Formats: sequence, structure tokens, C-alpha cells
Amino acid sequence: MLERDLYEPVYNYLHVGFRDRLHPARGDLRSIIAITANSGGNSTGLWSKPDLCIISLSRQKYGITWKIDLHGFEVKPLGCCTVQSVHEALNHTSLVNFTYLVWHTEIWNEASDECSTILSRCAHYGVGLITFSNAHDLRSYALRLPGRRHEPAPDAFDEFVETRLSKDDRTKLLDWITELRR
Amino acid sequence: MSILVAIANPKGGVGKSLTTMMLADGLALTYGARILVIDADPQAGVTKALLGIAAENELHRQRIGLGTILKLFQSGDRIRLAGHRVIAGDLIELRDRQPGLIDMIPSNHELLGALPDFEHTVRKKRRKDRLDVLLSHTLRAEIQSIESNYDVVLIDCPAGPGALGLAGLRLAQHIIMPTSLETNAYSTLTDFLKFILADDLDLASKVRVHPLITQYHATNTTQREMLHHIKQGLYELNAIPRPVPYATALQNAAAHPGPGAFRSVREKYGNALPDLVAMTKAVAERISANH
Repeated sequence: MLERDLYEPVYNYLHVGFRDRLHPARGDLRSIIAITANSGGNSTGLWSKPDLCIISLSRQKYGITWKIDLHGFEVKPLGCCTVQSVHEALNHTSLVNFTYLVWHTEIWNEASDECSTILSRCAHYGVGLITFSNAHDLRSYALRLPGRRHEPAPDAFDEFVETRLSKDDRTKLLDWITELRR
Repeated sequence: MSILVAIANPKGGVGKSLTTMMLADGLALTYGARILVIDADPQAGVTKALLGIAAENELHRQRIGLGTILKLFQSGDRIRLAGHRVIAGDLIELRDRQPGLIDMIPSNHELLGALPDFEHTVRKKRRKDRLDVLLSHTLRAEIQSIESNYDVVLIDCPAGPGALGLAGLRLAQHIIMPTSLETNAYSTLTDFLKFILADDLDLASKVRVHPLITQYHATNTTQREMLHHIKQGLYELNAIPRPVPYATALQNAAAHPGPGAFRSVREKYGNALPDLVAMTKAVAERISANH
């Protein structure tokens, strides 16, 4: 499958399989999941666009404020994932708090050179790793390594939302923030 | 491939939403099944039962659920059903989501008054096709994109002959038809089987219908007699033999304690627990017969 054909299935996985991980045990979660691969045009620069993103607003049950986190996902089709892909995902940390490499690989074997190299590089740089063997089978997705938190510049979030999100998603996010500020 | 089951009856107040909740809980608990509940009823009965009354407004604010789905459909945009999924279930036994789980696509009151306008607008825009056919095609494609995550998809259809209910019927492989043993309910059931399924939708050969007697009063002699005849096969209904009794415990089970609150299945269903288990097993036997 081509990379662009994987966006929709991965989008479904993020909603159905991944999003629950972000939910505080007793708190609240609101999230927006978007395909951002083709947004923002060329002016945003090389390796600057995660293919998909999740904006999560979460609050613990006894928490005072809501926390906004941005999660970026770089999708790599079968046979196209190398150490360079890890660096590509890593580059997104100038914008996102958590970055993930989402890799289509038919067989996952940690003992193999390919898998162990990718996994160790991801672990070294704090890049999360998700693999799947069949894009449309949501049960074939597995989180191999959770992403570590990164701290992009404070204005980076606004920059990302303004340049990568659709108008509908921007409006929805702004409505939520206005509501939750009250 | 998941099994698609519609819970439908054009008559209101026969316990469709309650049956949907019971089936979701029962299948997830008894068989460890992964369940997706689609609330296609603007009255949001099963949404309130599985998520709590407060959830309806909260989800509306988040633009999640049937209202938003239909607005997207109306404007010709992609529905993206996965984006409307929320975790349901208030049972301690299902909290770990292993092996059984309940997810749902919720509904809300948003379109309750505006449904006729919605139908009229969409029909005007796309004159050639029937609205329920269009809706069912769109929903089928969306369900297929996430169904690998679920064993059973339950669709709670609204009462009345609206497009939403008909679309639900078109999607299903099995129809569970809760019906009470009153004259009106019985005649609606036979009309439904004859005219809607056979003549209008031409679904009679494509789906299997399983009438389920609900709100059964064992002390009512007329109902007892009717049940006896049904069991003897007099009405040729092929109904599930064991009725679901009218029980306060079941009404209480549908009163969700609120977000973040959990209870055990025994606490939730009380003395109606054997009815939950029996009904689940009877339905499971029938819907798994061809799979």
C-alpha cells in the first residue's frame, strides 16, 4: 500500500485503538485527530509535517487545569522504514510533545536486525513506535514503544494549529478552549 | 467480520434500548465479546443507559454522535464513524476492557425535532435514491473500516418508519425485535414482518428476525396464554422462547450512576441477572448459528 493509502486506516486506529491510552484513569479527555500530511503547503519545510496528529486536552479528576498535548505520527509503508524515518519523526519534536513512527511491517521480530535497529533508535531518541501488519485490521496494530515527552517552543503549538489544522478543527478547538477556560 | 445485529420494532416503548443495553453487557461479560453499540435513536435511550444522562449534553458539546454524523452526511462530508466512538460500560468486570469491551457511537436529542427537515433536505438534494439506502451505504462503508475491532455491532433503531430505522435494518444480518404481549404490539410486529421486511425493504430473505418477548407479566393470564401459543409455534414467529420479564431491577439497571462510577454486574442487574444471562445465551445461539 502507498503511504497516502495508509492515512485513513491509521486514523481509524488512532481513534479506536490508541486514543484510550491518553485518557486519565479518572479524569476527562477531549481530543481531535487529524490527517495533516497534506496541510500547510511547502512553506512549512522538510520533515516538518507529521502525517497525522492528535491534540489531546486532558484533566485529572482532582486536577485544577486542563493540559494540552500534541502527538505527531509519521507513517511509513512496507519496506520504506529506515533509521532516517526515526530522525524524520524526531524532527517533529520541534512542534509536538510526543512523536511516533507508525510502521507497516508484515512480521515483527525484535531479534531481526531491521526491527532491533529501529526499536533501539526510537528508544534512544524518545520516539514512540507503533507497528501493524494489516492496515485495515485494527487488531494487528501494536504499540512497541511509548513516546517520551518533548518540550517544543511555547509558540510552536499555535503555529501548528494555525498552519496544519482544518478550519473546522480549529473552530472546534477554539470553542473547547473558550468553554474550558470559564 | 463482525456480526451486525439491529434491535428494532416500529412500535415505541417495547424495550429496544433496554434490550440493547442488556445484550451489550451480556455478550461482553458472558462471552468476552468486543461490542460496538450504535445508537441510531435520537431519543438516545441506550446512550443514557450506557454513558449516563449527563453524557448526552457533554458529547453534544464535543460534537460527537448521531446529530453531528447526520449533519456531515447532509453536507456530503465523510462521516468518519471512528471519530465518534466513546468508551461505554459502567461494569467493574469490563473496566479492563479485556477480554470483553463495549464501545459506542452515541446519540443525542440534537436532531429529535429536526429529523423531518433533515430527511426532506437530503431527499431534495439527492432525489433519485431512497434516503435509507443512501444512509445504509454510507454507514456500511464506515462500519467496515472499524469492524475488525469488534465481534458484534448492535444497532439500536428508533421507533417509527423513519429513514434512520430503515437504514439500520438494511445494515443488519439479524434483527432482534423486542415486543410486548399486547394486541397493538403484536399486530405491529406482524405488520412489520409482512409489509416492511418482505414488501417494502425486500429484506425477508437477507436477514433473520428473532422476536423477543419483553415486559412480560407472568401474573397476567392473557400474556401467559399468548406466550404458550407462541412457544407452540401457533403464530409462526420463531420467537426466542424465554421472555424478558417486566422487572424493576431492569429499570434500575438502565439508570447509569454517572461518569467514572462503576458497579458490579450483580449490583447493576440485581435479581434480573438470570434473565440477562438467559436472554444473552438465547440471542448468542441464534446470531452465531450462521457464523
